[in-house]
Amino acid sequence: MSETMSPRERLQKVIDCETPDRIPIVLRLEYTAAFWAGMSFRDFCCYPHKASDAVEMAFDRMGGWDGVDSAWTLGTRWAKLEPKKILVPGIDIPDDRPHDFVDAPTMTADDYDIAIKGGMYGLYSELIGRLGGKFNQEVEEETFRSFAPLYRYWETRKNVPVVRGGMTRPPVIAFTLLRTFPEISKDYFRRPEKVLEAINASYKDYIKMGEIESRLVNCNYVFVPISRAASTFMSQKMFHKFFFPNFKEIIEQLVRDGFTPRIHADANWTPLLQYFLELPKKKCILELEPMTDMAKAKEVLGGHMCLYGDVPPDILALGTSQDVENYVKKKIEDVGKDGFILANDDLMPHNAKYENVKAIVDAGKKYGWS
Amino acid sequence: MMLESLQDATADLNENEALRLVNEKIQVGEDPKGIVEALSRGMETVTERFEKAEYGLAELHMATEIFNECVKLVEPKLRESPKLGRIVIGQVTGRLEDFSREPIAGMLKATGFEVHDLGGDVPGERFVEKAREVEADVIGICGIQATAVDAARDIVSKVRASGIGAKILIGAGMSCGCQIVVDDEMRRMVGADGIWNGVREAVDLAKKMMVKDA
Repeated sequence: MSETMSPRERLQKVIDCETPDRIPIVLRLEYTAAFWAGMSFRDFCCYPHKASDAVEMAFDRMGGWDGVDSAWTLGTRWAKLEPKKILVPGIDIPDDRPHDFVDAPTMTADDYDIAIKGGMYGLYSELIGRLGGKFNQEVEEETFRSFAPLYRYWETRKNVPVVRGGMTRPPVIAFTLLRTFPEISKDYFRRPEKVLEAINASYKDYIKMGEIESRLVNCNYVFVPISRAASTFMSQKMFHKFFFPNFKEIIEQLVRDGFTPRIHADANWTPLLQYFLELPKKKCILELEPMTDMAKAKEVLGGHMCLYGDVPPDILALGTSQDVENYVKKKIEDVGKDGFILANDDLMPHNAKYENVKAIVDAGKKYGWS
Repeated sequence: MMLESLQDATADLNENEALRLVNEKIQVGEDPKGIVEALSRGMETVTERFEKAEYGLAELHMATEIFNECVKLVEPKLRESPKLGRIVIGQVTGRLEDFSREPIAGMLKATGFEVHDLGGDVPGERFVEKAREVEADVIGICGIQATAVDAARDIVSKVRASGIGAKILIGAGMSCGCQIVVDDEMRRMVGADGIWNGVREAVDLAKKMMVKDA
């Protein structure tokens, strides 16, 4: 079989829920790439160009794929733009561990009032200030402007799209990080009106954040993580109250402004799939992991939304390349038509075997032809 | 009747009502064990609703909070009650974030275990130290996933090497929403005595471990 489309055309075709020459393959490589390259995790975390180099080494060695994730932005983003204390490999934690963050509340129950008054920028400025940093829109812009050359390099020199520009978290998802999940779980019951007011006062800022960041790196894909609203995390009653109406507005606005939301939905969304029919048709990517029944997702959302996923981390770390090939073959048979991106599920474990990850690419190129 | 109301208030996550009923019961001299049993039955309903996806982890956390707040009120009297056994529970080394440990610890308490929760990112030495201090019957290592197998194996080998005879259980983690499933192959790799996936399995397994020669 020979390729008749560029990676960009291939991705656009599946977002349109149509069938391209071959199913596009996207890998979200993070510290795995550093491990294979013999690079310290600290360097991968702290130096975007080094992280990009590590990903490029894997990309070239595997013969390339159709979309790269901007792993090079993540350490810097956590260090500068997120109101959480990052744990840097080789400094705060051993160098063989990926960066993490301290899962303690950085936002108190009283801080909902700051969000109500000052929106997301007001809240982040206050919380990052408390951690000893400085945050405002200029800091955000400066940070993303510094990433732009790497995006250009991948787009023009490697001819492969980068599938993550900026990030827009629905506010309630952001609050689960800032308050921590156990604390916001209590807020949902003890101060629901405050949570709702803060959501309504800040969601436009979150949209703005994702759009500004994406424009600065000239990337159309806005990452929208929503895992903590899955049925695993909240009942449908709470889903309606705290998440969906606001999330829908966010997605509609991003689409109206010309962006492609990449909706990152870990955990179990099977009981909630019909809600995605209310989002703009053929404009989004829905990223799922095996807790959601992807065959069911195809049945419900086929022709409406492109699905993305979901080779699981345990196969990549503990299985064989044959296990990966079998998984990919079955996945393509089940959901490969009319809008599917083959990818690893969420974060790749940093001890994923090289031959297993390569097997995703090889199997995609073997079985993915239309 | 009032105990049924307490059970329902817990199951329906009505915090104020549950606290009011517990205070009322204490004032009329109700046996604290009966109060905890009603709370536990409420928690069982919560778990059933979670398993049927009627509740999510948010509801599970709130239920655990209600349970813990109510138990605090009767705790002074409860200290005199016999325990099913002593459990040391903690997150596998390297894992800070996990949503499953707190509800499991809460349910184990509700079931009648003396629970010592060591929190997140617990090194093997800490498990050994605490298990020795409290003479633990069971050690529960939470947050297991593919990338944590080596760390879990290290904890197990340290506990075994220390000569502590506690049974060692490992439980599936939940990271950023990804529920990981542990299986017998993972149990064998880690060298544990048992595995759980979910709150109910954790409690059932802990109870089973208390049966002699389990």
